[in-house]
Amino acid sequence: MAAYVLRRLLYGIPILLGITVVTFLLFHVVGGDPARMLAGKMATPEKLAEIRHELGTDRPMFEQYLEFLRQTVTFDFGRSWQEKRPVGELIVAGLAPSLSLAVPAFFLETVLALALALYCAFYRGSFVDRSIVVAAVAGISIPSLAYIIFGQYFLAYEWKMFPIFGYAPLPGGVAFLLLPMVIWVLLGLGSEVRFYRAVMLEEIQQDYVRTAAAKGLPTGRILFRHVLKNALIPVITRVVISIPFLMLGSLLIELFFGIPGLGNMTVEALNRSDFPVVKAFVVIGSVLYILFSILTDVLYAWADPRVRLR
Amino acid sequence: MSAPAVARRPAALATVARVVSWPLAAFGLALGVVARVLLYPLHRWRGRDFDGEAYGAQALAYLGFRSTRFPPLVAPVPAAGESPGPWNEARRRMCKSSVALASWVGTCLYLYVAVAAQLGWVAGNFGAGDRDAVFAAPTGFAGPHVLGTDQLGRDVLALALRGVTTAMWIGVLSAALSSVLGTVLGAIAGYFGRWVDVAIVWLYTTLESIPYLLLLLAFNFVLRKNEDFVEAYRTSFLATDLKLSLGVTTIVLTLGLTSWVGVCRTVRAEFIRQRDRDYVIAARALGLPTRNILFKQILPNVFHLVLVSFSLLLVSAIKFEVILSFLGLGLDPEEASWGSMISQARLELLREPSVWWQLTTATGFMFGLVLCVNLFADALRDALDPRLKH
Repeated sequence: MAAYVLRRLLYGIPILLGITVVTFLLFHVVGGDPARMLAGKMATPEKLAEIRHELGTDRPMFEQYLEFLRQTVTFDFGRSWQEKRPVGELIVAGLAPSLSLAVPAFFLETVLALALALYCAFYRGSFVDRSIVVAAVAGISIPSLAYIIFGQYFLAYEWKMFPIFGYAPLPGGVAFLLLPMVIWVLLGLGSEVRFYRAVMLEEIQQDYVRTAAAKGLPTGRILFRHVLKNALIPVITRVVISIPFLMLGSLLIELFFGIPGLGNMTVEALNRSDFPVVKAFVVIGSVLYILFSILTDVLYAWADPRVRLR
Repeated sequence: MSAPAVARRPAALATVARVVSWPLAAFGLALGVVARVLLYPLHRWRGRDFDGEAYGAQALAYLGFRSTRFPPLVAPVPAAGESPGPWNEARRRMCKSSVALASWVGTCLYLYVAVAAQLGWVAGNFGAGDRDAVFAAPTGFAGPHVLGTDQLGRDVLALALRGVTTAMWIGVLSAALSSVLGTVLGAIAGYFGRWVDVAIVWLYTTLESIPYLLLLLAFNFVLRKNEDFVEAYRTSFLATDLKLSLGVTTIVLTLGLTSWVGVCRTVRAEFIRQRDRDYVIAARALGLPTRNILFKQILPNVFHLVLVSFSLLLVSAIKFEVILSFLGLGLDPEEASWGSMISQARLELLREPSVWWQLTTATGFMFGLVLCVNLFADALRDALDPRLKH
């Protein structure tokens, strides 16, 4: 196991190098000259040169890349161009709001989707099953902005069930997070239910389920002890691999409800051409993705003894 | 989608579907005929021939609703009694499902609206604002503004119809770009294996590791800021001939170049399974060129996966256009797109009295298209892969 994890970590190195190259190319080659953006249209050549020197973009490309690599390895991404604060500080500040929305919402969504999927698979072909399937397809076809805008307008503004906008740290700010959470769940539920339903259907048609039913096990026991356990592998993959993306929260939801999380910060950084912040987000997100995909494989072996880690 | 318990052939719906897809089929067959006529000398020179008469007869029979067998665009026309082939078989299976037929009819109608709006037959003056009728409420078919007007007095229905064109351009072009990219890379990686495979897998693992929305936003953002790219766009055929805006071009490039990972992974896995099959070994033994083996021998056996991915990519491109436009990275507010309509309309709900029609119209139009394509993709997957039972 330890050898496997170590080897996978070593495999992660070329991927990480690739990510730094892509990010670097994106911002330094495709992105053009950041100094011109920062200085505005009326800048004099001297001013431009000064900004370039300050940013370090007047140095040779390779040197700049090495500097970026150093930043990646040490997780020290320098200072935000706009805020003049270290990027690390910004990220730590944004983490709590993002996670306080994302973690409960994601948990709720997964549990709800699993329950619905199990129900659908058990009563497959029934009216309720077909209604849920139709609702799920309809649900994923509604634009995500429509959920947010209509939800905010009707639930919060018209019917005053929730605060419209704002954020306060937990535990005081629970009220602010409720509506974003509801919308998060609605946004993701359709595709989750569809996915888990397919997984459960696959499992529920297996012979062992029929055997369990034939020897007289109660339905609840079959569903929760047998089917759910065997369906665990795809569930684990989907859940674990989603965790790194929770960091960003749902960018749109954070934006609409004024939650000062990482998603909100990303949009702000993009709008202000704040390259160091965006670069840091990209790299950190990717590192987390690599780590969590290793975790998925390890959990595989734990959940299914037939899987050997090689 | 689970099929209804008693699968009856929905005859009326099937007829509607055939009538609706007639222009599309006629266009495709005309292209096929032109291509065959143009390529005729080449075929003769290579010592191959095709039965133009049989092809033409089959095409006319299909278009005259006297046969349900679509004449194949590349292979010879099958004789009577011969197996109709997997595609006709899949088509027959799809014709049994009313959901598939209805979603196909819907998708076709959207496509025709898109073509009509691009040619200016429908919603030609969508950009013309009526200063005297700002935020006019919907009047229904009796009045001048069926679905009301927006903050510039532009007709909301015309904007939404024109938005179909924008959505279709973005969806089709970016899905085509990423499908082609993913298929070619996946085929090469799967077939050749070894270091080519390692390199391509490394490339897509890298892309996949970057949080997708961030990659999309960052790529789109830097592309728009790059003056060389903007300059290259202005002189390209995209701007001068197709009249695609900078926003559309950027979105197509961004989505096309970043969303090929899924297709590539699927195609690669399938090519690995196929590359040691007997027919591939036989093709290799016959000395067929590798290009032929990859794209003429193996690809047709894998193509159904590409087709399903294409329709799903189309949907996700349309959805991302809305998000990007809302974040100010998509289309300009003057352009007619559902994304810019939704993002403009979001504060209009708060007006007194509330201006809901622009938001609702854009949402409704988009919902219809996305729903149709989603359902069609599901039906397509079920019809092309009968082993799968969802």
